[in-house]
Amino acid sequence: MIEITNVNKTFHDMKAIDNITAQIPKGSIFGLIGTNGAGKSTLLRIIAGIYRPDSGSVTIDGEPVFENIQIKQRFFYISDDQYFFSNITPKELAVYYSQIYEKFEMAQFKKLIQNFELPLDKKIQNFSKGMKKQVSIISAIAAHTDYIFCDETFDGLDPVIRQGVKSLFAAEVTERNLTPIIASHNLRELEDICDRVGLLHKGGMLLSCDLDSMKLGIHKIQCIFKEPQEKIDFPELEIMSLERRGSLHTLTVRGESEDILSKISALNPLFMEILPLTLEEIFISETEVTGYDVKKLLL
Amino acid sequence: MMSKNSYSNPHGWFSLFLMKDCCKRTLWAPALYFVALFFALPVTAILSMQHIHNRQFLFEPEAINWVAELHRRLAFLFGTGNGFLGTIFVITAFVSALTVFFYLHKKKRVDFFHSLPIKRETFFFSHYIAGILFILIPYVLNLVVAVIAVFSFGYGNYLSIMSLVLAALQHLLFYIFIYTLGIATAMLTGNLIVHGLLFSFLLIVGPALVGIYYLIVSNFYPLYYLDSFPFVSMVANSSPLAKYIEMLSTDYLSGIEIFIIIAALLLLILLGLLLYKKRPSDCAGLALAFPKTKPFFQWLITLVISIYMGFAFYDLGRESIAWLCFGIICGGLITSRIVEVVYAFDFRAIKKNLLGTAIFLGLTCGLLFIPIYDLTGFNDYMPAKDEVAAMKIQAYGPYEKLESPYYSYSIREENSFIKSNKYLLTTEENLAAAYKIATIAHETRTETKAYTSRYDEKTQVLICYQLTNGKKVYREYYGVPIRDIKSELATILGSNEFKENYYTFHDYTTAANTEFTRLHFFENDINYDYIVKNFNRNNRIAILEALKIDTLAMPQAQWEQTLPIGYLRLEVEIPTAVSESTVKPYSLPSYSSQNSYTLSLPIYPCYTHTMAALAEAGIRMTDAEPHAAQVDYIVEHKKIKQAEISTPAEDIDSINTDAEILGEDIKPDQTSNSMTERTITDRREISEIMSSTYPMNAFDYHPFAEYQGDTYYTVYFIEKSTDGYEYSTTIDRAYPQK
Repeated sequence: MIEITNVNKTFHDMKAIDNITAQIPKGSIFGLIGTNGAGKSTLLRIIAGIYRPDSGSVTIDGEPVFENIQIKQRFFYISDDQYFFSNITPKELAVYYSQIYEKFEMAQFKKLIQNFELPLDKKIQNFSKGMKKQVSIISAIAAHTDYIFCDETFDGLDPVIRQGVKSLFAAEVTERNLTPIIASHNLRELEDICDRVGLLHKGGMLLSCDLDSMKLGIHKIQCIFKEPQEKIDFPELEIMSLERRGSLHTLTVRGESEDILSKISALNPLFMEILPLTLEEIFISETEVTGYDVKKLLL
Repeated sequence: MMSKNSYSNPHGWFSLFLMKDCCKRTLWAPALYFVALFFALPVTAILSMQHIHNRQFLFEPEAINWVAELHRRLAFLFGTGNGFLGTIFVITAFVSALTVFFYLHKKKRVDFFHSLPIKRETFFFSHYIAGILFILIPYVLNLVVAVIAVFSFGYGNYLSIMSLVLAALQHLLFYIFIYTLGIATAMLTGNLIVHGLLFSFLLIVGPALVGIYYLIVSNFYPLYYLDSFPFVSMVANSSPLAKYIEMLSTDYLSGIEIFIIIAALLLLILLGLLLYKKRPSDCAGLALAFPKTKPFFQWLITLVISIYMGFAFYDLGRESIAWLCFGIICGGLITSRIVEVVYAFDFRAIKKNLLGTAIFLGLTCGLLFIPIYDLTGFNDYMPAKDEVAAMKIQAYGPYEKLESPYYSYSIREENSFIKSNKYLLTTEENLAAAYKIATIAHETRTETKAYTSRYDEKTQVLICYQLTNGKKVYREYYGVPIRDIKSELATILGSNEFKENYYTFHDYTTAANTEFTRLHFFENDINYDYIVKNFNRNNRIAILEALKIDTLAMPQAQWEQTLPIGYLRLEVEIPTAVSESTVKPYSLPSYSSQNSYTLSLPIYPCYTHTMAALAEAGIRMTDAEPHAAQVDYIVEHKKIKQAEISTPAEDIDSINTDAEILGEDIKPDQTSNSMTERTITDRREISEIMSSTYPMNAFDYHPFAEYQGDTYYTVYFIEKSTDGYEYSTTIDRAYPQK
């Protein structure tokens, strides 16, 4: 398990990480989502032992990460703009990693390269962005670490490859309890694969929980009322957002579904329907509460 | 299936895999170094040996003495004085330092490397050693090829392999030293440009600060004894680059210096490692890795440049304080703005921290007022008489002759005023005289340094007060009237204490490493060199002991009033222990002039013991007497006084031009420097001149005596050879100044 406790990080008077506490259990796929400049990459770098937090601690299975070689053997970090040695080929890269990572599997690496139809002996610097990301992911899988930290890794991958990678991750999770931590803006992609998500905003963690629990805890209800309703008309409900188009009211409400429905029913709506929320909608709703509102961006 | 065979386990302090990987990724560097060293060593060696072999030299003496030339070329190629090699080493050290930790300046690379399961120490040492290998392998390879080239020409037996290896190690030591400073700088900086600039600055800041100190004391402390400030050695010891340049130019590095360099190097390595471990990864791309160091470097750079600019304007403005301040302010302002812009990589940062800059420059100017107006009272200070336990004193004008090659009693292995005790005065009488001189010098002191020669009426006096509390105070006074201190100087110079301390030949009375090389009597031109060179050991000892007795016994008054009749030249070999380094790639010929020095020892008429010892050794002492009866004639040369000139100088040329055209006699150029000549054959006049004048050479061997310059005599002795030809010898004589 990765435990992040009261971590703070400041760059040049700008608070990048603000007192974050979170737990990432082993064997789950953790999605790190957040607004632009929320601190996702910074947090990943802290977890990967690249940055030292100003305060707080990051431990993996109880051991601190920074400058801990034994712990670092247990994870592989893929940055959003991965560095490759100039003129290096995937084969040479694999040789390099095999010298660094104790459990690196050369055979698996070659097999995956072949499966993904990447050239083994061509210079990586001539690959496309997507191909480079594939090489990074394959290297990470072949390194046989317990954790993989991916920063915007899925961006640049075509849908087929993306699906392939997701399957790969899922298989590794099942087979050897791999714990990928994926930072991304692409919530639709994360929704398919992640078990847990952490939502970052302005350096702070808004929430960190099981995806299913998150979805269970927040609902979208469409209702039709004779008279227009406002938030104050629903005092017993924790309404995150209310949209009105004529008599059609769309509410995003935090709470148990039965409880919400019963409380709305008490107001005698003409029509009432509970709709599934996507991760994206949850993200927007949660951040709207903190004032990060798309309407503010447009006005 | 685990690929355990290839795993290198980079967990220790060093990883061979990482080092090899670093070398592989930066192969262009050692390749370039190899090419440069190839031309510096094997190609140069082959060319040189070919010239030697074919006796193809630019200058004839080299062809004659080709062995010496071979030694010289081997010394240059393989010794510690190879400036060409030194230049390559400095450049390659600089490039290597900029290269091996280049990844620290790029965010992407930092993310990559620092996420790997490799300790920072492992990274540090693996890359550090790789940078050393960049030069080591090309250097060793090229050195071996160059040595083989020398052997192939048949000159291998002139090489000392041990010395060659030692010299190579010293070159490598300095490469590593400069390179390590660059590594430590890399840990402080976040991008290549700032790294390069700061590294360059740190290489020269030490000498620059020493230079500032020198500028301040030499400009504002006229009484400061500049030689007491070991400027050259401080410059050399303040920077690895300066120390390397010193080694290249002196071709010498002592054991203790090597030890100190290694200690400094180890400290730098530790510093580099510590900085690397502490360095935040997020500083990649920024100017400095530790922002808190910015003020230190900014103000240090500003201080150095502003002061140099200040002194440049001070000099241009003819020592104007206003121009000094102008230069400081301009230099400081420009420098601090440039630093702000470079730090932020944004020209708009030019406006930052203007108040801080103004305060700093104000403080700098303010602090400089301390030496400018001598607020510490340095120039006014003179210790009280009862505080002084001993003194050293040197008056340049009168002493100049004492220390000239003609009268070099005083040359020792250690001649420095500071280190040597040859000027030391401790007796009550000498101290009183020395303190009186110091008082006069202090009272007549000038504000500016004015160098003097022995012909001036004023002189420079150098004084060391050794105080009762153990401290030593040095002062250098200018413009001291010689007339005012002459009697005190005479007291000192005539004292036994001075003679015992100052004259060196006393130390070698029984030494085997001395040889007389010349005896010359001023009254004739007979050559006794062959005779004196063949003196046996007993003769030498007897003569040296006699000289000592006579010198100590001669009263001061007699010394002042008589001139020497001749001199003995003594060559003294310096003992091996105090000679210069023998770390040379070849064995030095024994005739090296650096291993001996020469003393000229005057013989006065009252040196009865010396003359007896010389007579005992076979010298005919009557040769030392003037022989008026043998003089054939004398030519008097007399300077024409200005008042006697009837025709102005500018008219002479036109008169003579006309005379040439008209075929008339040309008039002599009757300027104030011209002399008339008169031939004297009258025996009485000849006798009178011979008894009242002295050979002009004799004056060179007396510290105070000078001859009158307006008249001198050339004495002619005509002799017939056995085959009937006449030949003349001459001796110039003059009256002593009153």
